Amino acid sequence: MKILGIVGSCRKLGNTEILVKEALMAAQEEGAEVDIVRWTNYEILPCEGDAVCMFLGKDCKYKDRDGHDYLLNMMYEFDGVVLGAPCYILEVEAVVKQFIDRLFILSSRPSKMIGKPAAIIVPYATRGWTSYAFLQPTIVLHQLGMHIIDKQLIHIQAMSETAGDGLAREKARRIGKEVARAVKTGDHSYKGDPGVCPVCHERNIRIMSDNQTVECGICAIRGRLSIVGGKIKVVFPQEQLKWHRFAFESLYRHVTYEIKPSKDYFIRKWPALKQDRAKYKEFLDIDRKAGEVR
Amino acid sequence: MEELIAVLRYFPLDPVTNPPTPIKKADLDKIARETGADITLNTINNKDRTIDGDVIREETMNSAIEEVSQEVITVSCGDETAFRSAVRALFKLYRAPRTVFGTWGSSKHGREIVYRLCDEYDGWY
Repeated sequence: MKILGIVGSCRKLGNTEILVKEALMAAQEEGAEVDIVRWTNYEILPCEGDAVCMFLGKDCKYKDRDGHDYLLNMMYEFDGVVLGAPCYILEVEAVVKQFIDRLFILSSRPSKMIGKPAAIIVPYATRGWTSYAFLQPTIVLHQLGMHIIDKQLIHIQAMSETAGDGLAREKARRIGKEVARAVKTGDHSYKGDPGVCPVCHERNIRIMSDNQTVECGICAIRGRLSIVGGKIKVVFPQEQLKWHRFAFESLYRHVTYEIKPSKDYFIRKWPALKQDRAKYKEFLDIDRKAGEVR
Repeated sequence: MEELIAVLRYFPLDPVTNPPTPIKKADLDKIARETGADITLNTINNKDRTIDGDVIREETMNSAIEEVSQEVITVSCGDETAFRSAVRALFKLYRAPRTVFGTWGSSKHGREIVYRLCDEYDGWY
């Protein structure tokens, strides 16, 4: 049983690193072999959207030029993951989103994390500034096909303060033990705050423009909102649940019917597009060197 | 009057997932009657597609858009008001096609109207 701690924070020995290490210590006590990696130690170049990984089944052009492929393959060696990243302005540090954008590669090289358990730790400093704290961590783990079994927000301020905060460390330890036990037992049931969405357990519910329907923006399942006994109730029909955005069959449909046929569209449109775009090539020099005076 | 044509391509499981409303010829006929637009339905089943319950398998990487399994609703009408009403009604039932190539085959003006109606209500936002 191998569990990987992922630290999505630049700060050395900061709260995220300490909390993920605390979780790994607890996982180790459950018999896990553990290791840790800091994603921000590796350059992850932005996806250019040229789609060669999707349409031609080729490796990403950055495969040997940055750390994404290495980090992805490193994950594949493990049976479970504890992902930690600090919440800055409403969301976690950008490295998680950078990692997500390069996951287009999964359309031709399927994830090897499908069905493995994971949990999320997000330290943050100010209450009320965490609205989307779990958004990117949830997306990355779901995109990889993992089962998220818990998420913890941990309120902390000073650098490394968690090292002396019993409650924070207790939460992290719980996460570590839960992931280890999930790997051991195969019980991947969700242990955290149930939230509103029964799939991702988030509370970020969108009110659709018909002003009648609500949707979990992450999972794309739709339901109805009502007030029962003065409390907001959101009901998602059971048949919606199996078609959530990150379910295997939903992702298969997305790739098969929304991505792959666009290759034919590009090919057919390309001659006209080449002509249409010519005038934009001549208009202003967007790629001049930084600081260069026009 | 210019004949406006909207070709709306719905790919497998689109209409049945969200909302759970399969495309029915009877619904299209009703919208056609109510709006005065001409509406047809054409179902394309790729010969290589396999279906086992909800599990659909099809290789589409090198397929022409028109060859991929799909249901194609074509709305045509010389009257812009009727055309708009028909497309609006379809979006209410099935939402707008998800992709840009989901309107492939539409007339230039028809596609522009479809896109303006998407801004108004496409069912996805």
